[in-house]
Amino acid sequence: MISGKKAEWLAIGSVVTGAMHLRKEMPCQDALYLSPPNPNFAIACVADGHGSNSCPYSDEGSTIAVKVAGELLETMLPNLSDHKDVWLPKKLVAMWEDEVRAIHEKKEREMLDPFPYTLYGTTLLAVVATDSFVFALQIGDGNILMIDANGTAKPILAEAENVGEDTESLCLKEAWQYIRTQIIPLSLPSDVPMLMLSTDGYANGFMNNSGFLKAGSDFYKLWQEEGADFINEALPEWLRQSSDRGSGDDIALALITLKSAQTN
Amino acid sequence: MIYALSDGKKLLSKHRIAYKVIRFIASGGQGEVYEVEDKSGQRYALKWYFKHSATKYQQKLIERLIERGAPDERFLWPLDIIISDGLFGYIMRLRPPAYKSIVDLMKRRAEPTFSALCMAGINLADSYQNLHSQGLCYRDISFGNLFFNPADGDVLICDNDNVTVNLDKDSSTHGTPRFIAPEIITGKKLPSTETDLYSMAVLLFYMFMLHHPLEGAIEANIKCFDAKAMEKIYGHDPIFIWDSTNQSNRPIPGYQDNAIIFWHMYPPYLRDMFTQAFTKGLHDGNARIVEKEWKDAFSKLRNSILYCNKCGAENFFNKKPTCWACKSAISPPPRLNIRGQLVMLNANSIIHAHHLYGNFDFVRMIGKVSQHPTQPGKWGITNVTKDNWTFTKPTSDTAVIESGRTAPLVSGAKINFGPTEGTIE
Repeated sequence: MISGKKAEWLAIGSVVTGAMHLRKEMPCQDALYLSPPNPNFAIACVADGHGSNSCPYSDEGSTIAVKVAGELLETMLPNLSDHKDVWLPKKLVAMWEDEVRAIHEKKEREMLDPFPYTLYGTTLLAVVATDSFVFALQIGDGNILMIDANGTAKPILAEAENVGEDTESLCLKEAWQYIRTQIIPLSLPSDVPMLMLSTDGYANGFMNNSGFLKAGSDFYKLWQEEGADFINEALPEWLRQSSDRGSGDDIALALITLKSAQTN
Repeated sequence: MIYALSDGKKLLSKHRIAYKVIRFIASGGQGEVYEVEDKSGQRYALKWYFKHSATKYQQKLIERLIERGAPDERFLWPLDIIISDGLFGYIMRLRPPAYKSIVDLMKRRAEPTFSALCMAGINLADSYQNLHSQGLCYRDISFGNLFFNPADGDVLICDNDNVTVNLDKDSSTHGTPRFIAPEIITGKKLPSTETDLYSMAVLLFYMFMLHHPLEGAIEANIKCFDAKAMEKIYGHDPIFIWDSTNQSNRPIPGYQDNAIIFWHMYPPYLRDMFTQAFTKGLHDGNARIVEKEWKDAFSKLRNSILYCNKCGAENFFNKKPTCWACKSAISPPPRLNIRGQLVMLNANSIIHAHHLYGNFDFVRMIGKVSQHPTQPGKWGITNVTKDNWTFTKPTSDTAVIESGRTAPLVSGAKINFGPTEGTIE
């Protein structure tokens, strides 16, 4: 248990271009946002642009998504619980759409009616950790894991709603309705000392779900033994290896951990 | 995740009933909710407070609420208290899974008919009227504590553990952002029945328009929605999106479409009531719409439902009805004019006790519209009471309509139901 001084969270992570994307000379479609160090909270967001032929600018869509989500979540921190179901998802989608339109106009791309948000289609996952709660948000595929003080990793927000054959995406009409959110109150921050969020390229590199969950537990063990800096430095290479040996897809992965690994 | 109570844990209540924890259900800001079982196998919900919320004040409040009892059965009221290891929680009835939240409604996971929605509005206003008539104040009317059955509009009100007497100074519960009355945000008043009426109007607006009444252009243009911005929109400078004299906060097409589509779908009297609630009623507690007025309005709205002959969509009667969904002209069904109410006589319409007595009893049936068994296309109102009715034709000839018999739908004819008479139009 962490005892004495106030818990301090830290967001670390990395994004790497997948082996397949490098071979095809495609840009990295994944994006990452990590909040700057702050004594009161940490925010991490990852997004996976769809990358298909119908979404040629999805690398920009994912970059906008993580930036907008990171900024919005920070301003909403005091009221996340009250706004998580409707207002926050609506505002997030509206802000993403505004920025997408702005970049579309700035780059003088063809204007169509209705506006083709699909060109920028992306998933989005975000996690916020504070002293008193953890907040998670997700639209589309990808994984969020909560790792407890015993090192057991559990998925949260795992069940996506069925939207027919479409992948859940920020580009969908009324996309806010598909954004899943969850608040987990914490008695003590050390109850959940680590959270992991990753685009689907990471989980797809494992043979099965238990292997993926074990990776979450392994990150926790490493954090206990070596600390967050060690993980942060090694992460790009690990993710590259994971992509090379596995899916070949881009990977964005973030960890939110307590800054101090002192346990008793 | 570590829960405060483990599955199988046994707890003894103040009423000396043993409960066993079955499973964790959910957690909120104040505590966690569990499903528990008593010795007879009856299942209940147990709200167990976090340490920071398990105050002496909260405990006393719960004990007082248990002693007082629920205003009516729609409140999932504290029934019993459990104290253990310096913490405590209370027992309440479980919410059946058929009941959905307003968020489910917003996300279209629950799609009630307008008729069921009107019933939910009537039930909601009626429940709070019962609570308020006891000098109590809910303090936190919002999205999270109302659940409704999309099939029939029945409602359940949860989270009753913050209910106090009016103007209680000791409670720290002032409400949920965006539902709190402006005078509480500006620090001028404490929660009371008056402020509950404001929050209830916001909730009703959400239910019928799927949108917040103050979120228009001003909200759409705010990028940094911090506490200061919220205080301005909902407290210091609130402007109703459909304020007839101030058009600066109109909803933005493409972003706030629900507010536009639904507003124009409803009849003027309902729009006028919402306008009063969010113009004069924003600043003057006495100008707020009271529960009885909402109940009357939603009863009237329910009576006026008719169906598009082409696409079947529910619409509301007016002199020249046009379907909001397919834009076709609608040929209205016959109507029953009774006690100043105009009740559409659709193929599925029912005359309830409310139509005769004005008592909001939409359970007891008096008559139902039915088709002639051998002559399709010929409709009438079947007497489902034990008493006889008197049917008077436009020619002044009369006939007795016994229990189980049907009065034909003849324009200009009158039906005397006993306590009152109605005319078919």
